[in-house]
Amino acid sequence: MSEAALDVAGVEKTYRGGVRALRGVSLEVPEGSIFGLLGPNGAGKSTLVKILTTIIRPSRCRGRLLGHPIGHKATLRKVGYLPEHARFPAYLTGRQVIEYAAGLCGVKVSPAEVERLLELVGMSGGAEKRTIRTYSKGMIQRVGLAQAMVNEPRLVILDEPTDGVDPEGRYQMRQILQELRADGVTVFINSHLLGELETLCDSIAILKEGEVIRQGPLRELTAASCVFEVITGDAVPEETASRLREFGYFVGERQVTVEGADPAPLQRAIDTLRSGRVAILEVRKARQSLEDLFMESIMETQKTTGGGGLV
Amino acid sequence: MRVMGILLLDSFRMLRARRLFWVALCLSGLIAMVYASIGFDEGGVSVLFGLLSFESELLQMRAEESQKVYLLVFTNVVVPYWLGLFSIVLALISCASIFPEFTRKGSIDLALSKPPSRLSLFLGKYLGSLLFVLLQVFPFTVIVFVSLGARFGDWNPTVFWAVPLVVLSFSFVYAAHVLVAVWSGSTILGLFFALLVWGGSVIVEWAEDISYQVAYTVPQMGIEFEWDKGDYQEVEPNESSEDFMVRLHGVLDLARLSLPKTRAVGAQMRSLIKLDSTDGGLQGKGLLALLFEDPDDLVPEHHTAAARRADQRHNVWKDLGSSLLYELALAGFAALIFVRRDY
Repeated sequence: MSEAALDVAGVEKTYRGGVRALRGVSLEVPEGSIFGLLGPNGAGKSTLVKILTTIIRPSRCRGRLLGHPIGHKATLRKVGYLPEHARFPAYLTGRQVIEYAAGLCGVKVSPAEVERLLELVGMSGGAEKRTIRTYSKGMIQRVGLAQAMVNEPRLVILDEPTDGVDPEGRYQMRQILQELRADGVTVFINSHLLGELETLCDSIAILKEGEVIRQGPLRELTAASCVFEVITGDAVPEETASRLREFGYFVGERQVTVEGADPAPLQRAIDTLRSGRVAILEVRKARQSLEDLFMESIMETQKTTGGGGLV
Repeated sequence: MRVMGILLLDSFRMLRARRLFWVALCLSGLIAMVYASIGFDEGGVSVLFGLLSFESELLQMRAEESQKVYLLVFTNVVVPYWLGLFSIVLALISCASIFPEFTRKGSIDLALSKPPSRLSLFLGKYLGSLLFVLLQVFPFTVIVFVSLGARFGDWNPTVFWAVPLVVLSFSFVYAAHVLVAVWSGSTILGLFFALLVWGGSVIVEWAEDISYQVAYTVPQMGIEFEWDKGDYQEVEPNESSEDFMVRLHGVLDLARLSLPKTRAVGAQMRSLIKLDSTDGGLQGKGLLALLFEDPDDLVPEHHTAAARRADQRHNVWKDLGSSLLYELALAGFAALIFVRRDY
């Protein structure tokens, strides 16, 4: 995980008509990791993904994708991409979509390899012989993932990959992405499903109004605002509760919440409870969820910029 | 080349999936079979392999003449009307949605995110569309080829000129469609524009033809029309008529030059498809020339000369070249839009 699969700086995109979709985005995605790009609607996530895959031209962009400048077509030979709302040619079968994608990547693919990929995404057993027009949304996503892997990519970019996929399919997809990471493949996911990203991602970036407002390893970002919860056997007496509140702790009926990763305030809270003869049943470290982090980041920037609600 | 092959294969799969492709192919086959079933004998003409016979004094011919008429039916009726008109309209309708569907959001992303350049993708789709016409015309021409060979023993490879020339005609019309389809993403708008340009160019070709006849051919034949009486009189042959008609023809000729010339391609096809490869075939001769022993006996020499000058006034290569330039300009502009656009 030493080199960056993707390293961009100052990516800007202004569409005709003056809409500024990206305002100097800088990102670094370590090689062999799973990276999640989050943001509210209209934040510029899809624009960024499309710039990386040459579907959109940036107004300004410095950086490298797999060691080559952004926009270098030949690099895409080693990139797999599943677009958001993918519409594969309706007259092709699932098998033919994979062969078509392989052909466009300049890769010769054997029937056995196609079979393996279809099996991997749970699309074997006859469904792959039907044309796409008969597929459900979830089936299209599965075939989409298979075609994104057909060229043995070093980087897989997935735009809302689990959109329309059933729980079993999501589980399978998570397994596949984890296997890809284990094989050293970098996975770049753009998704709204924070719970899924939380279980998968090594690092994330949060984009808002075309700017990166948070970026880094997921563990560090969520740990930075971690919370300790002290569970008591009885209700905290009022005298002890007022002392705890003076220290800035939140006191519930049978719970005291201590914010921050620093253990000193936690020790002080425990001492205060013990001196008040309150039985302590459990002390647990409650890591901030990705959803909490996401909402906190969005709200923070709204406060600083005086912005309104989510786009 | 491999990418082009993949795109052509994709186009073939797309065409194969369209009902209209099979309808057009069946119609094409049916018309070819009807053509193949036409026969001439001493009594007259028969169709459907002799199932229906029609006695005709005009078409009572020796084998050689019936062979000529048979080929003329192909070059003067089947090629311009079926291959040059109806099959092109069918092909245009069938191929109209190729670019709008290809450039639709979610669909274009897959192709653009792969290594081939945008220009390769555009060319692949463009050539793939021409494949439709090729697949329609080629089997048709094979049936005609076999029919001619089996009937008259004349295995005439020049009938295959119909294949590239009909494809060329279609491509002239299709370029206008692609430009608007890529620009607007609308199938209907593209189709409408293509038909408008095609119709417009045919009208300009006709108008130029008529204006030439009035400005040059008629005076050279020594004919003067009396429009008010609806009659004409023979006068001394003249090189050209009044200035207005000459100027009008000049303007129309210029307009014709800048537009696709599908009629000219048809004329070229008639001159290239020969009865056999040794005698110069049907070049410069019409149906009258074949039905009568010596047509020059029937009309004065200066009439024939004027008609010949009219027939030969356009340089074929200039017509084809300027039409190709027109196509290149439209398709090039469409490619530029395709290459530069954000999807």
